[in-house]
Formats: sequence, structure tokens, C-alpha cells
Amino acid sequence: MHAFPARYFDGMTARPTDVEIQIDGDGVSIRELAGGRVLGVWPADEVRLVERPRPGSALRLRRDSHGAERLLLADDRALIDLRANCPKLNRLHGGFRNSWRPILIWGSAAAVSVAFIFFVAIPVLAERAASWIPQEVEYEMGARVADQMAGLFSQDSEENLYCATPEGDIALQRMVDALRDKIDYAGEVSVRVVPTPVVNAFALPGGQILLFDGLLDFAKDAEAVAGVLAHEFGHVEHRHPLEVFLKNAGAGALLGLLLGDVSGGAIIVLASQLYLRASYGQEAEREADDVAIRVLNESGIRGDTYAEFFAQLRDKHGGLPDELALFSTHPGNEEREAHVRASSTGRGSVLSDGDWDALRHICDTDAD
Amino acid sequence: MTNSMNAGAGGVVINCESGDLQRPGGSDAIEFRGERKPLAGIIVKNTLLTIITFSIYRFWARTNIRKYYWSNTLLLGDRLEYTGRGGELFVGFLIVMAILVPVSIVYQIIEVFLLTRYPDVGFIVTLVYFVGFIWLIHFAFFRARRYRLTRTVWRGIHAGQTGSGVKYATRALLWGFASILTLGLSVPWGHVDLQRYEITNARFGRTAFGYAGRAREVFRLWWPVLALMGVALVYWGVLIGLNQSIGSSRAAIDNPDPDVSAAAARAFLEFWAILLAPGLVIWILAMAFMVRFRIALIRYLFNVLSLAGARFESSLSIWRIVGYYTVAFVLPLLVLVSLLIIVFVVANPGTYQLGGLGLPLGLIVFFGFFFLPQLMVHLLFYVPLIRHVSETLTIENAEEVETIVQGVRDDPRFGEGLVDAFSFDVGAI
Repeated sequence: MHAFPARYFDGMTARPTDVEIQIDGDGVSIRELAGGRVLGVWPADEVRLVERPRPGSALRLRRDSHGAERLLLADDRALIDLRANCPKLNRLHGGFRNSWRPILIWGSAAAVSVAFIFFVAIPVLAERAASWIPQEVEYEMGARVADQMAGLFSQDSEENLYCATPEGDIALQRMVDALRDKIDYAGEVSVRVVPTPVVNAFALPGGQILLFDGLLDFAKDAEAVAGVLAHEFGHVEHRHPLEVFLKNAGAGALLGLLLGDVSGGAIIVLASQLYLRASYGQEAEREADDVAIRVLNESGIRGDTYAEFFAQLRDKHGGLPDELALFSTHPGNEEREAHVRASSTGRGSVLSDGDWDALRHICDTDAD
Repeated sequence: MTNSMNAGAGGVVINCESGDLQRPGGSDAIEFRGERKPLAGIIVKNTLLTIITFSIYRFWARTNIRKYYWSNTLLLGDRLEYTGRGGELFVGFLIVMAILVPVSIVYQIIEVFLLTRYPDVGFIVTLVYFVGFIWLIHFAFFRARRYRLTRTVWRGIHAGQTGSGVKYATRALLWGFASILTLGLSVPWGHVDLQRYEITNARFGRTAFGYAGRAREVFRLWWPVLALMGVALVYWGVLIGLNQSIGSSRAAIDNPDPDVSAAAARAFLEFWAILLAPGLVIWILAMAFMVRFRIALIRYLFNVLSLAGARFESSLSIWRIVGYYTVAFVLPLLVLVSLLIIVFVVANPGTYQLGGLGLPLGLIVFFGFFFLPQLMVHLLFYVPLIRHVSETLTIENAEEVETIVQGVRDDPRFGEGLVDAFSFDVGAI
């Protein structure tokens, strides 16, 4: 049995008492140095370290996890005796038992409310807000997103965001004119071509559509491109882009809240990445397809090469082309192909051969 | 007895922390032993765990940091203890997510709806939301302080906080209105009133802290800031008033003749640059006085603070703290800005390929916005700041603190959720 000098705080006042402690199987007994009075005995299984022992600094002990009494020991050798006699010495806290219940209860409550916000509040709000937002604001938003996206994808050596040749512009305008009047959309519609080999097309808020040059190369003929364009017009008519944009903004804000301020910047990156992979969902795609079929039929343009486009994509990418946001949202490419083929009534073409050639080479400014 | 004891004339006095046989008092009554290296280790560990756990660990991370600061702060030779736990902060956050966030979202839905349908009513709803938000910020800060105080222990005695968050937040809001109405003149009175409420409600054991601050003394520090800002604003206001006479030059800029237009534009720009610049110089000077004001307030707080007959006195150097601030915040900002200029203007990366962009950008964002600022704020600002403050702080009648008696504990079970939701304490303690 060893005795050590120590300083004792009784948990009632901040005044220290110089004591001598003895450590044995019964625990720690504390005896006042002046007078020899016994101030207390801490049962062995109630003795705890306040913090992990650090060399060069005093050991701090407390009684129980929540007790206010404290003992300070300068002599490191006491630690050996303490370890030998006090089984719960290193239990720094009251243990996990006391803390799991509130975490579980409030965690479930938080999960429920986050799920509610994500799956109910944000979609409903996005849908409503899409009709509340003025057209000019929507156009501004779309223009900014269009430039950002074109900036990300554009591979033009002269850093042009969009492709333009005099003949190509005329051809593109002719195609747009052939389809534009058939959709129910009051605002301005603009279609631009981005110089990138990626096969894709996007409809952005404010009736702004980006066609990627890769899609022009990949398409068999002008009617396939017209079909894609009519499909994007369908998204425009239903104002899907604005809805998705608002949904992503809401989801981004929620995510920021969940992750704390840790990744304030990362959220922005994440949100923009999310937008690039924007999926409208199957229902929205079907709506856009229906508009596409209607527009093609009303214009008398053949839909079979557009239908073939799906098969072509499937062959190229084995069914799941992950960089193709446009087509990746729906597993049922075959179904859509069949639907377009069956509903299409047009037989005509959309552009002359000369115009189609000009459109295909709209990005080849160097070659001409 | 196998251990010998140091028997002095007045019995054995053990100072376990410093090896000194006397209990420190006076200028040594407060000591900070925090060092950069172990703290950096904690921050690195915190950062890694925070990444791995998708930032859930941040509550435990903050607790680790606090434990370090608390346990390296010594009052009369004894370390403070921080008894808070990460789980408590986490539950506080969950509560906010479960209750406050849905409420605020529903409110925003109503707000957006009203704003678009009935613009007149919508304006009021927005105003109410804005004012409510500011109220909630004050409330959250008061409650967060309560959490931190109740988790602070010295010699087994708990600190704590009485008073009401509702009362405090309402008072703070009213003082905010007053400072707008009085054009800033009421700021010292608001500051002293709110600080008195904070300090006299903070307690250690059963004893409340004493506060002898006086608004007139704070005003003496405040008026140069106010005067300089006023001069700059009046100066600019007069210029904007003169704008009417510049209307003709605006018309000239719109002139279809490019030569006339360019000349007019140059004259217009020169006019504004020359005339605006003096106002800007005055404004920067005002901001310098603002920094001085805020640091002087820290010193002033210590000088009017008392606890159970013990009185504090601080002789901290404003310029030293301005120096720490410059090194930790201003210089990194300048470096960051110049780096951005180099990357985006000089090097002009032009076009990006999307695939290659994600990871490097993510890393830059992570280091730029999270890890480095945390490291700098703690190592370059808090550590030297707290060290300097404790070195220049003396306590008169320090031994009086030992008469303090344990109080009744009334601790909140969970902590700080609101503050976390508002994302205010980036890297802060």
C-alpha cells in the first residue's frame, strides 16, 4: 500500500486542501494532511481519470463520471497503483449507454423531416415556383447556365463557346423555324451548338437549348437531329429545365445544411455536377417524347431516324451511356424507340441536303 | 509510507502543474500553455475523420479542439476542464434538422407564394422573416454560450449561465433598431447593456461575474469610427447629389460617334475616380479605427470584470493583435486573391475538360475553404491571441476566487444546434 501527496477539491468550494491519499483494493482514501482527518473514501470502481495522463502534468482524478470532487496527483507512480486497483479508471465518460437514445430518437425525427423536405417540399415548391418566376428572370438564369456549360465542354481552339458559320446558322434557323410554332411556349427559344465531341443536347431554363457538335456527327440525318430538337422543345414546353434547376438549388441548400459549413465551396461544385447529370425522370421524358412526336407529325417530318437514334446509342454504349444525361434516365430505350416509331406519321424531310451539310459542319470554321 | 513529502513551514503545498511550490497569483493567475504542434495534430486528425464521415464527425472535432484549449488554460495553477461531448452537439444539430428546418421551409414556401401573388403582403412577410432570423441568431448565441459555460469546470466547480435567451435576443434586436434610428450613436449603450446582461448572468459556482462597464467610456473609443464613417458617407452623398449635373456627360457617352462617346466616358470615369478616392481613404481609416475599437473592447471588458472580489486587469497590446490578425487573415486573403488572379487571368486555362476538373477542383476547394483556414485561424490567430491575452492579464485578489461555492446545476442536455445550423463558427472555438 502506497501513500501519495495530493491536492483535493471537495466539489463544494474552489478551495484546495492538501491531502495524502492511499490507494488499495477498497479504493482511494483521502486524509487531510493538517489534522489527519479522513475526508472521504472513493470506492475503487468509482475512480476515474479526468483526462488521459500526460507526461509532465498532474494526474487528475474524479469520483464517478459526473462527480464534482477532484484529486490532483503529481507523482506518476500513483498511476501504477491506480491501474492495479481501479477497474473503471479509463472510462472517460458515462459511457455510450446514456447517449444513444437521444441520438436515435432525434436522428429518426431529423431523417423523417429531411426526407419530407427532399421528396415532398422541394418538388412541390419547385413545381409551383417554376410558374411564379417571371420569364425574364428565367431567361437570365438559363443564359448564365448555358455559358457555364458551354465553357465546360467547349473544345474550340479559339475559345469560342458556340459554333457559327453563315451557312450553318441559316440551316439551324430553318430547322428551328420548322418546329418552333408547334410548341406551346410564349417566350423566346434559342438553339446553339457547342463545339464538343460529346453526344448530347440540353434544354436549359428560358427556352435555351444547347446541341453538342458530337450529336450532329453521330446523327444519321437531319430528321434525327430534328427529333432530338423537338424532344428538347418538349422539355421547354413543360418548363422542365426550370423545375430541375430549382429542385437542384433546393437540394443543394439542404445538403449544405446537412454537411455543415465544412464544404460550402464543395457544395457549389457538387450542385453544378448534379445539374450536368440532371435527370428529368421517366415521366418528364415521356412528356417530352410526346411533344416531339406531335411536333414532328404536325410538321410532316419523318420520325424513323429519330427512333433509330435510340438503337444507335444503345449499340454504341451498350444500353447505358452514362455520359448521356439526355438518354440515361430511362432504362426503356427500346420502349421509347417503339413508341416513337409507332406514333410517327410524317414522311417528309426537314432540311435540304445542302443545309444538312452546312449544319453538320457548323463547327468546322478552320476547315472552310 | 514509502513516499516522502515536501514538508514546508505552512504544511505541504503541492503545485502539481508547474512544479512551483507556491500557488500563482497576480500576473501569473492565468496561464495559457497551448502550443501549435499538438493543436495542428488535432486539426489534421479532425479533418481526416470529418472527410471520412461525410462531416458528421465535425461535432466531435469541435469538442476535441475545445478540450485542448480549455485544458491548457490554467487559473491559479489549475487547468480548466471542458466536459462537453460531441454527441451532445450532434443531438442539438439533429433537433434543429428535425424541427427548425421544416418550419423554415414551410415559411419560405408561404413567403415565395405571397411574394409572387400579393407583392404588398409579401414584403411584410419577408421583413418578418428577416427580423425573426436576426432575433434567432442572437438567441442561438446566448444559448450556445450557456452550453459552453455549463461544460466548463475548474477545481470541480461548474460554470453556468442564468438569464433568458428570449429576453436577451429581444433586447439585442431592439438595440439593433436603435442603432439604425440613431445612425450608430447608440452603439456604445447597446454594447454595454447587452454585455452587462451576458456577464452578470454568467456564473461560476454560485457566484455571478461582476460588470462595471460604462457606455460613456465605450463611446470614447467609438466616436472616431462613427465620425470617420459619417464624413465618408456625407462626402459620397454630396457626390451622388452632384450626379444630376453629370447627367449631360452620360448623354454624351451614349453619343453614337465613338470618339465623342469615348472621351465623355473617360472624363466621366476620371471625375468619379478622383472624387471618390478621398472618400475611400477616409473609409479605410474608419475601418482601421473599427479594428482598434473591437480589440480595445476586449481589453475594456477585462478591466471592468470581477469575480467574487477578484478584479481583472488587462494590458494587452492592440497593435500586437492587429499584427496577429493581419498575419492570419489579411495576408492569406491577399495570397488567395493573387493566386486566383494568376490562375484565371495570367495563366488563363481557357477550356476545361469536365472529367479532369472534378478532383483537383474539389481538392482546391477543400484546402482553400476548409482545412487551411482552420489551421491558420487556430495556429496563427487563436494561439498567439490567447497567449498574449493571458500574459497581459493580471488578477487582483485572485485568492478570493477560492471562496466560490458550487452552485445548483441546471445544464442543457444538448448543445448549440442553432448555431451550427447558421454555420457561423467556421473553424472557431
